[in-house]
This record gives sequence, structure tokens and C-alpha cells, in this order.
Amino acid sequence: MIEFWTLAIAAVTALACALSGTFLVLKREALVSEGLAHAVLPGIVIAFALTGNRTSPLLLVGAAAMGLVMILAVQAIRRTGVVDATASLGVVFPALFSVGVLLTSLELAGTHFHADCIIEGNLALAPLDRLELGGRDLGPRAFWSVSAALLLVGCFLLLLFKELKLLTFDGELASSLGFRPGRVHVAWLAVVSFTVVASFEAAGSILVVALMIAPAASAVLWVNDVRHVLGLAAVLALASAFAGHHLGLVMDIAPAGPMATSAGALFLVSLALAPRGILVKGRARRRALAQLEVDLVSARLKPGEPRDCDVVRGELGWSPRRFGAAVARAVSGSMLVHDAGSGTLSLSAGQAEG
Amino acid sequence: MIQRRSREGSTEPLALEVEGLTVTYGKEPALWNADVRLGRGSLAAVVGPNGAGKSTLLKAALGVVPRVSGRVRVLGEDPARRRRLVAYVPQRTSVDWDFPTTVLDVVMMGTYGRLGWFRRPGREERAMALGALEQMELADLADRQISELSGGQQQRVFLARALVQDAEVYFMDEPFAGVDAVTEQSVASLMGHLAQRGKTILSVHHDLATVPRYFEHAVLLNRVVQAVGTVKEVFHRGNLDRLYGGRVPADVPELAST
Ligand SMILES: Nc1ncnc2c1ncn2[C@@H]1O[C@H](COP(=O)(O)OP(=O)(O)O)[C@@H](O)[C@H]1O
Ligand SMILES: [Mg+2]
Repeated sequence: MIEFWTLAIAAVTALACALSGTFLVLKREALVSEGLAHAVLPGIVIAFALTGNRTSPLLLVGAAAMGLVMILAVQAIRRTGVVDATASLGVVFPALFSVGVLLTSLELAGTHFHADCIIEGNLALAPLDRLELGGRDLGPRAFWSVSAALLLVGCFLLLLFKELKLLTFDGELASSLGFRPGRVHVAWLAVVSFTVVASFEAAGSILVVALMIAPAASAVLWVNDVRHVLGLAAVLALASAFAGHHLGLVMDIAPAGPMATSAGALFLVSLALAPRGILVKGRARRRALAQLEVDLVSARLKPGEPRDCDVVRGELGWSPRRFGAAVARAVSGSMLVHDAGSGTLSLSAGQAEG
Repeated sequence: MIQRRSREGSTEPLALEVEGLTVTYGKEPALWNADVRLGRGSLAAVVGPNGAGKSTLLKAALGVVPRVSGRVRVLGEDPARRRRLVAYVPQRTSVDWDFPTTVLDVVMMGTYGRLGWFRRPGREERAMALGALEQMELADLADRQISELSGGQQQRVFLARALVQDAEVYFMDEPFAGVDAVTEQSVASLMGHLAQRGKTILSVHHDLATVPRYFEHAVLLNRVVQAVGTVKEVFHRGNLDRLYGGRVPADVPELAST
């Protein structure tokens, strides 16, 4: 049963993270997830100290609010025009994180967060921390909090998909149509912040980033439509959750690490094999170059006038190997005729007519 | 009644009325005390050096930049209340063309204004977008990935999107920038058609040589509005030398004669 809940928490976390991370990737602000994953730490500690209660939903909301503080601070600093968006993010989130570390080490109200938990989460133990309502056991608390995040993300996407897509692609058109892209964006980042916090305990600050960014960054290499990117990112995230959980069991280690590794591995596979990956692009480039070489050789020949191979090769300044390969391709494509006896090249009959 | 009076001419609101407009982004003002008045059906170019505030003027007319002082009226109302009657063509390079979407989908974004919040585009919006693509001779690219478009095709996609908005006033930011000759022709003829149908166009334009060919009115802008009027009245060497600080190339053909 514990295994079931571990897997359920991992899967729902992966799903919520991947869906909320997709628009970060599309808006080219993936680093915001990293920022949020660190900036919410003081929020968690403070909210815990204030409520004195680990199980309060207020904890989630309070910590998510700290993420919002980070977003607004970053925007305020950027608006001064002195530093760019990335730099102001890079200033704000470590500052907030360090406050969190400080508060943690002060053991405010008896908080005892461990550095490991912050980085790696505590997925293995999460199923033991139960949510009880009126004495009834409803399952692990972490499952309900990540489910709440998934629900929030899902509702936002169902209601405001069109608005989110528009502001991500063309914020200026969004403002000119009155869709208030600034506010919608901040509202969306608040949802992302909540997702980060809800995933934090189970997933930790590194896995959250991996789960938010890797699936979407992989998906955009395969498919060409925002909806399909969302769908594929979700599938890849689930695959990472299952694979990571299984690897964790086999290797007898915490599942968080293998989950992040799986997400990263899926990205590497995508980077290599996807239609927009490096292999396909490289192959297309090589094919185009090969065609260009054939065209260059053909361009040096006139219909019905065979020319000496070495002369043509000399004009092109190519190595014998490169020239030989180009000629072989041209001959096999019936573009050229190579007379090995006289060592001459000529356009094939079909080419000469055309 | 107001309608009827307005048709007789006397109280017809101007397409764009900018009075004493000052806009700043923090340092020196991007626009200083600008006055621009454009009647309906104007086909006007905004001309001026880099950083002159041309884009800012358009954004102020759209009501999307905060103004320090001054008044902006579009068709007699605050821009925020005229969004449905205004179409905006941003600078082509202002968006990420690697965004995973299709030509048709981008053009459908032009229908989002009439859809309003929460509603999704449906069959009707799709048909409108296809019609606009047809008009821009892009119909066979409808399902094409936007990352595969040439610069000229990108620009025509933006114009198709503006057409879908079916607006009265069109604000365009450098629609001729970096496009091929074919696209330049189709953009120019589109503007001409729109103006003939009584639509108003205000377009940032960089190529001084083609201003007299493509436009009827000109706004000469360099933080302050130096002149507004018909191309005949204001687009002459004296004004342009002042506008560009005497760095206007001498071989601008249409200018040489004036
Ligand atoms: N969002 C912005 N933040 C800060 N400064 C800006 C912004 N947009 C424009 N500016 C500045 O305002 C001035 C006018 O800009 P702009 O209207 O884009 O000029 P143009 O379109 O004529 O080249 C420039 O100096 C530019 O650097
Ligand atoms: Mg500009």
C-alpha cells in the first residue's frame, strides 16, 4: 500500500509540475521554476512557525505567497531598468533562500528541516504522513496537496488556455486586446508557485525543477502545437515518475533522484532522436550539403561535352575523396555519367535534355 | 440622431486624436507634448529616426503604455473602450517565431478580442481566419509551422491576423521591415484597399523613398511631433533634414524633385 501511495504521489506531482512548467519553457523563463523552488523555503518555515502546524493547508498557501513575493520583487527590480530579468531573478531567489536557511538553522518553533529533504524531498516517507479528517484516514497528506495543485493547474488551463497562449506568444497583442497579460501572467505564476510548494515536500527543490522543465523541453522537440506539447510533457512526466519509482525500488534508494534522472534521460533521448533534435537536423544538413555538391559538379558540365575528372576536381578545389563521393552520388542518382576508361564526366542524357 | 449628424460631417469623431501626449519610460521622455490628429480613412506613415518614439506613439494610441500627461482618443473615445475597433500589427521581430503553433492558429488570435475572456475559438473563427489567409495569399500555408516561414510570410501572417480583427483603425509597426518585394507589394496594396474602404491606417515606416508611393499622410516624429499633414505638405527635404539632423541620403528619388 505504501508503494502504491509513493507511486501515486510521484505521478501526480510529475503531472502537475510538467503542465505548469510547459508555459515557463514556452515563455523562455524556465529559470523561474528554479527561483520559486528556492524562494518558497522561507515561506514554508515562516508559515510553519506561525501556524505551528505541519498539516495546515495555510502552510501551503503561505509558502506559495512567498513565491509570489519573489515574482513581484523580480518584476519590480527589472522595471527599474538597471538589470535584466534573469539577473534580477538571480539576485532575489538566493536572497530569499538564504533567509530560509537562516530561519531553518534557528530552528524557529522547533522546525527541523534537513538540507537533504530540501534538495531531494522525502518521497519515501511522504505516504506515512496521513491526512485525517474527523478521525478518518484519507490517505497521505502529500497526495492531497499535489492533487490540489494539479486541480488548480488544470482549472487554470481549462479556463485561460487561450489567454495564456496569447500572452506567451505575443504579449503586445494581448495588451492591445485588453487581456491584461501582466496580471494573467502573475496569476499563472502564483499557481506555479503553489505547485512548487505542494510538490516541495515530496519532490524537493531539484526534482521540482527537473519535473517542471525537462518534460516540456523534451516535448517541444517532438511536436508542434501547444496542446500537443502539454499532452506529451504530461506523458513524459508520468513515464519519468514510473521509471524513477521503479529504479528507486530496484536500487533501494529514494525515488526522487531516479525520477529526475529519468526526466533528464528522456530529454537526452529527445534531443538526439526528435524531429527537431540534433540527429535529424544533422542528417538534413548533411543531405542538403550532399545535394549541393552534386549540383556544383553538374554546374561545371555542359550537355554533350564530357570533361576530365581531374580538371573539374581542380576547379572545385576538392579532395579526391570528396569529389569521388559526390560523383558516385551523382552517378547513382543518374545525374552524371562517369566514363572510367577516359576518366571523363558528362551529364547524363536525361539531364542534358532538361 | 448623433449618428445622422455625424454623417453630415460636422461632429464625426477623428480616427485618432492625440493631444499634449508625454510618455516616459524613466529617463528622458520618449514622447514630448505630441499632437497628432488623423481623420477617418487616413493612410499615414510615422517617420523618424531610431528611438524617436514611433512605436511608443502606436502603443499610446492603443492605450497600453502609461502616459504622464495628455489625452488620447480613438474614434472619439478612450482607447480602452475602442479595442474592438482597433487592430495592431506589432513589429515582426517582437515575437518568438519558434513558438510551437501553426499559421492558422496565429491568425485566429485576431478573433480573441471579439471572443472575450474564457471563450475558445470555434468553427466560425476558423473560417474567418481561413478567409484572411486567402486574402493574403497564404491559404496553402494554413497548417504550416510558423518557424518555417520566411520573413515576408511572417509579416503577411501578422497582417492576416489584423484583417481578422475586422477593425476600423489599424496601427502597424514597421510592416515593410525586412520583407521581399512581393510581400512589400501585397502589404502596400492591402493598405490601399483598407484606406479605400474608409479604414484608417497609421504605420511606422522606415524607407523614406517609398513614403510618397504608399502613403497619403505623414507624421514626422523625433520625440516631439515635427509635422503632421499630407505627404505633399510635410514630406519635403527641409523637414526631413531637420528630422534626421541633416543625414538624409541625397539619392532618395522622390525627394530630389521636391
Ligand atoms: N519598455 C521600455 N522600457 C524602457 N525604455 C523604452 C521602452 N520602450 C522604448 N523605450 C525607449 O523609449 C525611446 C523610444 O522608443 P520607441 O518608441 O521604441 O522608438 P522607435 O520605435 O521610434 O524606434 C527609446 O529611447 C527607447 O530606448
Ligand atoms: Mg520601433
